[in-house]
Amino acid sequence: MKKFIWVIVATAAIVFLVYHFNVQSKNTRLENALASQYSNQLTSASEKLVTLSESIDQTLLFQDKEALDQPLEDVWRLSSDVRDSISSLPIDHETSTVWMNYLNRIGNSASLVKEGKIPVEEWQKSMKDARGNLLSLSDQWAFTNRNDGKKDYIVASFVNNKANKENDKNWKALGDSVKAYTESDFPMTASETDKQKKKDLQHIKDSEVTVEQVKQTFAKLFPELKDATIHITESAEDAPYPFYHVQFHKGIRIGYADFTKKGGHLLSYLLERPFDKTTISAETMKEKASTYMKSFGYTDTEMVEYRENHIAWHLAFARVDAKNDALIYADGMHLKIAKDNGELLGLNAMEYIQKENIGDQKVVPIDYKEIFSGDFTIEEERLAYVENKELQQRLAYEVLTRNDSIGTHRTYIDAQTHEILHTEKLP
Amino acid sequence: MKQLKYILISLIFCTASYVIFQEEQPTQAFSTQIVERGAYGDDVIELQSRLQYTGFYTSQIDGKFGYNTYWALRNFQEKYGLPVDGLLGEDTKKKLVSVSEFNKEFVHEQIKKGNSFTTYGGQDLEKQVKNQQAESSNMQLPPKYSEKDLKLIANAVYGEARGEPYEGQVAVAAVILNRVEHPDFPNTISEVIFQPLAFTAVADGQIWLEPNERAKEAVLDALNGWDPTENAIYYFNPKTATSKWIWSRPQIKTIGQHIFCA
Repeated sequence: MKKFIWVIVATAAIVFLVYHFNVQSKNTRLENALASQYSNQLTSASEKLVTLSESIDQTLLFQDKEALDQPLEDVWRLSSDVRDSISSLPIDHETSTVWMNYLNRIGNSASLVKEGKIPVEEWQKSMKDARGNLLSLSDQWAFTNRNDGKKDYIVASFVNNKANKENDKNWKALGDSVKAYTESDFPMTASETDKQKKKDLQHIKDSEVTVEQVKQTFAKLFPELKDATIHITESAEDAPYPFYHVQFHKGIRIGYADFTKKGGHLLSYLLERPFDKTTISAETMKEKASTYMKSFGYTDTEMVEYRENHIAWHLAFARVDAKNDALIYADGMHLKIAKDNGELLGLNAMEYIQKENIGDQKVVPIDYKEIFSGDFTIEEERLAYVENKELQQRLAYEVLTRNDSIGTHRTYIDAQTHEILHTEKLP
Repeated sequence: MKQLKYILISLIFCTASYVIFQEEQPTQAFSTQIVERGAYGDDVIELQSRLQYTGFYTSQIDGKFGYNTYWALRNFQEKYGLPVDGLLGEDTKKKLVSVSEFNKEFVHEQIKKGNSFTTYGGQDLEKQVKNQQAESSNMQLPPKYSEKDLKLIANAVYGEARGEPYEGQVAVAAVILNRVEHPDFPNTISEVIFQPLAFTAVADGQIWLEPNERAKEAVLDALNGWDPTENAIYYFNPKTATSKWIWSRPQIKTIGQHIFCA
């Protein structure tokens, strides 16, 4: 009898442990699911607030009615979009109501300005504060992890708050509320930067190169790696375009280089190694970059910007049209150069290989005073080719405008039609 | 009279020595390098602090020589009759040092702590520290992306691929960016990352681990255009993948433990 009781107690203990383990696992999964959902909602709202703020900046930039139409419509559309996001955020009712009303007013005003019912000047005056408010809210909701790598502290606090209110970790009700949402739950109108489509490399007409030829090209392009251990594989049969993948290793250096199978063009190259704390000057770095570009044969390019980071410089180049000296950003290229000794750490020529076909286009003189608001000064201008909405390359005026409180913007205006093709805020 | 003459000569000698000494004295503070737009580091921190001391720079002191710093420097050069080139050369450094103060210890301490602060002249520095955090990484990004994007993708890369080679980490970041551009996926980075069942690191909570510098560097390369996957939008580990569907995707290449697919 005693033995029987022991068996029952042991069985009960095991069942309890298994049950407890299952409940714990389920709770962890639900906690992760909730954290993901809340984190997504907050981060997404944060991203949309930045986009909204950028659109407001653009409404301050222009005074031309046609140039203003698009950013005003963006503000109206995005404010509605962010309002929907806020309504589903796990924040207290009062806070969300205040912000939703605020966004509602911004959206309505944008619509009224577009219809001509509110003067543009009045809008621009009131929006100078609004943009700051939106950015600080965005900062509060940005994805972050503090608390030593534990779950996002904002999300964790929401999860715990909600859990406590729901009778001390009664996850069932919460679990039921976590639905497998789709992208239709969050309208994705906030993404306005889908510009840089990678080139289709399927249609290269050059003849195929062999593995041996790729080896020779690799040694020629990177002479300091000629005695490196290399391993070459071909892309899988289903790859969108055929290429060779060269993995190399020499001492402390390890990396890869990809070459197209047709023509043996270098697609990209990246090297990793430890770095010293020394730094060569920016002048030396530029000289080295120029030497690299010449040695690779990319002589029709111009450096358009460089950014120094803690171990390397990242440089961006664009092809220059010999006819009119205009930059062709779609035929861009990137270099990565080590700060400690100027060694080439990376090269990305994927967009450069298939050059854009550029047609002739008229250049009609333009009066910037009619386009831009008087609060901005024109600092620089030149010609450049950029994509329009129909993905055609258009010759455009590239204009750098400056306002000390709102920031520096680069705007592309179609050189023939004077349509605003693209505006971006520069850091 | 003779004594007065000696005193006068001594005074002239002392003044002349002082002037010569001052002119030959190299700028004590900045490094010897010419600093320009695109630069990052201690020289830029000092430049921004000194420009803020003199009221020319009003933005965050973050060591990144962007347009706000550039215009502030040009305004400074214009006011003091220096060549207006936006370059921090020797003459500009000297003038900056002569008209401003820089408390290196204070500024670097605030940056290290992540505090929001200013360095305006004529005000107590301690009172210029605001009770809020200034989020800023040590990386400069292409204009299209923000530090928030870097942070979020780095968390995803670290959670998904921290054991992978560097190329493999750049590849995971590139897949996220390729998805943002692909019509079949959401259009924002956060929505791509948090899309249900898209990434294991989101499902098991590893997305919230603090990423290391290597993961951030890999993301930086991907944001700058590197894509070792050659346009992949999926990847999986063949040893752990349970979905049969993923094997039906057109494969592109293998990097480390991951197969990348179109």
